[in-house]
Amino acid sequence: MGEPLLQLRDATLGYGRDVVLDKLGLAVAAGDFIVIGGPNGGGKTTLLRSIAGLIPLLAGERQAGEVRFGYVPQQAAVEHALPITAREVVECGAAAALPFWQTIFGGRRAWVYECLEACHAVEFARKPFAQLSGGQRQRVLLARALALNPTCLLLDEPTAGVDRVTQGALSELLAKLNRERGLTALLVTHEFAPFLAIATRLLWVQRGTCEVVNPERFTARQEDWSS
Amino acid sequence: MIPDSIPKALLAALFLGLSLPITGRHLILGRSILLGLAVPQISMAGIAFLFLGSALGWSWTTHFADDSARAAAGALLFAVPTLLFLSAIQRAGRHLSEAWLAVAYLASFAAANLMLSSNAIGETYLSDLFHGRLILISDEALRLLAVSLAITGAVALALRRRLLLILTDPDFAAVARVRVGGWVMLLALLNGCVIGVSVAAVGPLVTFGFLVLPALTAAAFARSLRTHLAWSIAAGLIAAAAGYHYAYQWDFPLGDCTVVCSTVLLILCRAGARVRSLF
Repeated sequence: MGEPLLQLRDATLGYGRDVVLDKLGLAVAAGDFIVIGGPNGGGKTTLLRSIAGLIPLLAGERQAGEVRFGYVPQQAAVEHALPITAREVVECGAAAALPFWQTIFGGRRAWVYECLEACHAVEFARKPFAQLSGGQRQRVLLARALALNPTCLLLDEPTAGVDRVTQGALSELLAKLNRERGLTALLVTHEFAPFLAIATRLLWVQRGTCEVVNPERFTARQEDWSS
Repeated sequence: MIPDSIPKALLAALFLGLSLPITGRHLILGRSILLGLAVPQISMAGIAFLFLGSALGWSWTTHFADDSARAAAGALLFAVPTLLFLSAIQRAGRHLSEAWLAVAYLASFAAANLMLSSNAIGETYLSDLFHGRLILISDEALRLLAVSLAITGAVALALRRRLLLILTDPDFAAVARVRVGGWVMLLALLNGCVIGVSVAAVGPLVTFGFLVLPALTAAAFARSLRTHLAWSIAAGLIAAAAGYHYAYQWDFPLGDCTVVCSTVLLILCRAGARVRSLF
């Protein structure tokens, strides 16, 4: 592996005095596609949010250099109290990538549609976000993350509440973005099967530890945990 | 014969109907509707505080041109720091519970009454405000209201894309390296100014009514934030005009009548949207 794109060294992750993951070391190279699995409450989302810089490390070091992150949160975190269309969701993302004075008059409409197009989401761009299916919402949230022109995507359970066909379509889309744009991706999921073929590394997070496992072991653990 | 004050009252109502729905949608998107109830009441305590100071001869409270200027200063003095403080608490990751907002509402209500218990002028002024002081609005108060709402409304509209992101998904904004803390504080400042100036001019009832009811009315049939904003403003203006019309026709208090008209409009639109969804 060459120079890592981002790195955690001896990192302790958690909230206040509650340690979730301890002495963690992780190096991510450009173009990596890392799938993170583990039981509920094991620390998957904490790991992702710490990498994103949303949660400060309790100890250790985080090096993210010039990485531009694109974040796809859990769907449940994106509930709007007022009507908002898919296009407006992506417009907000596109605006975040600009200095605020450049957002006053322009909504970067062409760029917004380019991102929606990349995620096959143009056909429902004008529909209210709340009326979209789970899979359509994920495409919109992915388009919003792409609107930041990221070098690294962080996805928190993008396949939750999505049927198997759509899971497959999403994994194909992510594989394409990884392959064609060289986008690095870290993805937390319980539905690991669609991503096994494209994952460059599998991480298992449980009981305060995070370890790299091979696909067979990952599958076995996931099945053990699910049963 | 139409009294001189009625056109001013109508103008004030139209300004409020035009501008407060913009702030109201900030509160709804931020899931802080109760702030729209508590902060106006806290502003009332600020107004009472300055009237108390004036009665007790505190020198810095006696330099205002008239009561409306004193009221505006008092409302801003309490509303803006309160919203900045509450935003800082939320930003620190603490949940702002409804219970504490209710406590703040009750405490400020009682405090306002206590501060004016031996001040007849202030008590009358606040009593008028409670009923919606639209009909009594002075030239100075109307001018201050118009200028303040125009400035804050223009800023909120110009920065709407960034503000909407901060309100709907601050985590995404933080990952995109937007300075979320600063924007949250700016939003609190804007909202505090709008609420403070409005409460000082027309009272908490009318302010809360215009903050929330038009935005909820528009949510019944808007499909996007863009159309929601347009319909919210339209609902605010309709409520202002209808309130003025019926208050004049039936000699009702203008503030109360405007709020009732806005509520009726909300119910009609919600019912209409419900019926439409059946077909």
